[in-house]
Amino acid sequence: MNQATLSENIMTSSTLFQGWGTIEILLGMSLFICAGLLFVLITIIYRQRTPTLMPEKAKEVLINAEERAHAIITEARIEARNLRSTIEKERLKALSEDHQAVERFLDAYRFQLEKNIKELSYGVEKEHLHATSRFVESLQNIEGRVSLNADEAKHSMDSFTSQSSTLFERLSYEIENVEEGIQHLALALEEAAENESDKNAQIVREEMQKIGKETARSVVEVAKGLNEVLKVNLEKEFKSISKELGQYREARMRLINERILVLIEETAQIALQKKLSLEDQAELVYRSLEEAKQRGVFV
Amino acid sequence: MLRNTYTTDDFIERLGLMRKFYNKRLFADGEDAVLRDVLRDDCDERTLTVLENWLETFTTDSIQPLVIYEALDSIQEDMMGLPAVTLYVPVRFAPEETEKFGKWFRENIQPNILVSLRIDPRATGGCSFIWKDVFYDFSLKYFIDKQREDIVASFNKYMHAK
Repeated sequence: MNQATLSENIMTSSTLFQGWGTIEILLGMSLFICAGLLFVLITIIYRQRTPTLMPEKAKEVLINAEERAHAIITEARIEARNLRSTIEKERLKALSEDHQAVERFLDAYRFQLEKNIKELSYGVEKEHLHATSRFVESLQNIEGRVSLNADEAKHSMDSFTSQSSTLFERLSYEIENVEEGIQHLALALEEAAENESDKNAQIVREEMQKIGKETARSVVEVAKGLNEVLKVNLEKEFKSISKELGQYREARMRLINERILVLIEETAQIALQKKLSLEDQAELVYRSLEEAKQRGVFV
Repeated sequence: MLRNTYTTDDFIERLGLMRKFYNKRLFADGEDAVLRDVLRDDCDERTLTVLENWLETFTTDSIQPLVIYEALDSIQEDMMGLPAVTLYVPVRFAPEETEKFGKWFRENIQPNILVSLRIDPRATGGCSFIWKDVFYDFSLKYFIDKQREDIVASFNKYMHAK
């Protein structure tokens, strides 16, 4: 097998070096080997001649490398800074746009708010004027009614007192009439009795005088009793009316007092707003704060 | 930052102004940006002085501008957690007087309190306020109610004398 391969190789060589003799082939091969040895020799010599890395050279190389590294880092930093600046600019631009949008919205909002406040203020002022005029009107009505009722009550009391006086006068007059009539009757009886016998006349006269006196006394007593009853009833009635009038007056006064306070407050507010200086206003603020502090509000 | 700022409105306004200044400084003019020049048209001298004091404090404490800029939003959020009183006054007062109100609250109520100042004509003769979600009226109405007996008596006396 190996022999066959060898013979094939030889044949191939024979084909290649056709026309060459064995000596030429051997010479050629020797030449080839010498060339190879020469190449190896030159390589070894060249390697021996390559200079080794000296410390100075190494330092220089290192410095160069560091410089290059620094240059690269600086470049990277500049790039990063530029990039950051660009990003910040973009961000600021976006913020600015947002800010402007917010400003626009706020302007529109403020405008609308001011408009609403103006409308509201106008409405409140109008309503306040209306309410105040109604209040003043109702206060005047109340005062008028109170005054009228008081007049009516006084008139009723005067009328009642006057009627009572008339009644008393009439009663006294009647009593006097009765007394006078009884005396006349007694005198008439006495005169009639004088015409009778002396004995009977005496008895009758005495009896008549007795009857007359008793009658007069009883009439006077009745009149006095009637007078007393009337007096008591009148006083009672007067007290009752006075009490009711007092209650009515008190209720009305309480109502008026409340209204007075509201009116004073509103009037004082208007006056204080217009008349007080800023220093005075500030002083009142401090006074209020001190009052609140003393009351223990800020705990 | 609270030291010279007493009202919530001032605080928010000043934070907004600082935000504007730092925008300019960080993203436009750099270190050349001067607070007074940037904000001159946006606020009064008093506010400028307060903002300059803030800036000086930041510089003294060596706080970087970017750190401050990024902290402004969270500062505003933190502000919402501070004790606050809503004060209603009858008229608009000058900023100096408003500061005095704030000082009164800091000295008498709480040292870190913020005041939300509102104008309400109904508070004439004093003031009213909301403290811990409760409304208190210490206006003229309160003082009239307090003196109601005397007032009615005087009024009646006047009426009877008339």
